[in-house]
Amino acid sequence: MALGANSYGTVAEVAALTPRWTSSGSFGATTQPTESHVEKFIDRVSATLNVFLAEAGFSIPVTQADCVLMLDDFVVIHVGALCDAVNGAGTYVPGENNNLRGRTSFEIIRKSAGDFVADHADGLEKLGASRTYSMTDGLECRTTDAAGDTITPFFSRKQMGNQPIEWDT
Amino acid sequence: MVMTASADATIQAAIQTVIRADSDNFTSANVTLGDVRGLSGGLESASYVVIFPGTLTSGARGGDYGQVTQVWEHPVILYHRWRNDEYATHTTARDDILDIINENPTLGGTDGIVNSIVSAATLGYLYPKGGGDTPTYVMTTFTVMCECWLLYANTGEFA
Repeated sequence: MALGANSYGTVAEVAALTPRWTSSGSFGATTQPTESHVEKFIDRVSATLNVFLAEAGFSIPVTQADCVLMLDDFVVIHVGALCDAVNGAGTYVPGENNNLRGRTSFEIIRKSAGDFVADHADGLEKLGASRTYSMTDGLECRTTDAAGDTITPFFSRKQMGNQPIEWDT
Repeated sequence: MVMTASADATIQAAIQTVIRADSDNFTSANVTLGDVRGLSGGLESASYVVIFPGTLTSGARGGDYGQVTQVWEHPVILYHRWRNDEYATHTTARDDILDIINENPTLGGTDGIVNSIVSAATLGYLYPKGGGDTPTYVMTTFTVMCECWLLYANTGEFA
């Protein structure tokens, strides 16, 4: 099995971070986790990351070299922690309440990926990651006043002889 | 023959040599003197043996006082990566080490070592730091007790 086309990082990079769980430095059919398990971990963490990247308007997979390095790092480190968990060690190990604070590994990865993309979307874009915006992007509407009370619009539809046109019909 | 100096280092090296000689069961690189770094190298089911510096438990002078008898106890730890059920593998390797020492009382004819025996073997586990209920390694700590004779002639006050 090979990694998904939209995935970041490699099995070898995960092995370099978690040599203890490998066979002489490589994941294989008899290691715990196996090589195919690690590939699935990579695909799934990458997919989580790609969902948030797509939500922020980025084309996935991100291909700009520097951005890819950072995304590789995100995926490899989280997959390494999953490999630790398989062996009862590390941040995501079931029952390790101090680290998980009662959350599942998916919740942590989802939150981490969401925060990561939200915090660094500008950086990814400025480095050259392809990003597109919807036509209403950046449009904001103020709905409360300084006191926090709801603002009533000065004008409303059909006021002063206004005849709305249904453009789609 | 007798030893002339450095009993501790000599015994450690001799234990390493006799265990390494059983190449069917132990890989040479996985039998070390105090080097535990290989534990992180991806052992799978391979045995990993570390010989640590020993403790001198008794010493006595004899003959013309240049003859010294020492009894040393060296910890030798056998590790196996804990994956699911490693007890069978570990038990076999434990017996191998016991047999090796029992079959080689002078640790392979090492000058000055007159007897050696495993006086204790204790099962234990290594757990990951901050981890859960699953051990990372199952291990046995052997105590290898060695009696050795040293001769200090033509040196120091015996010169």
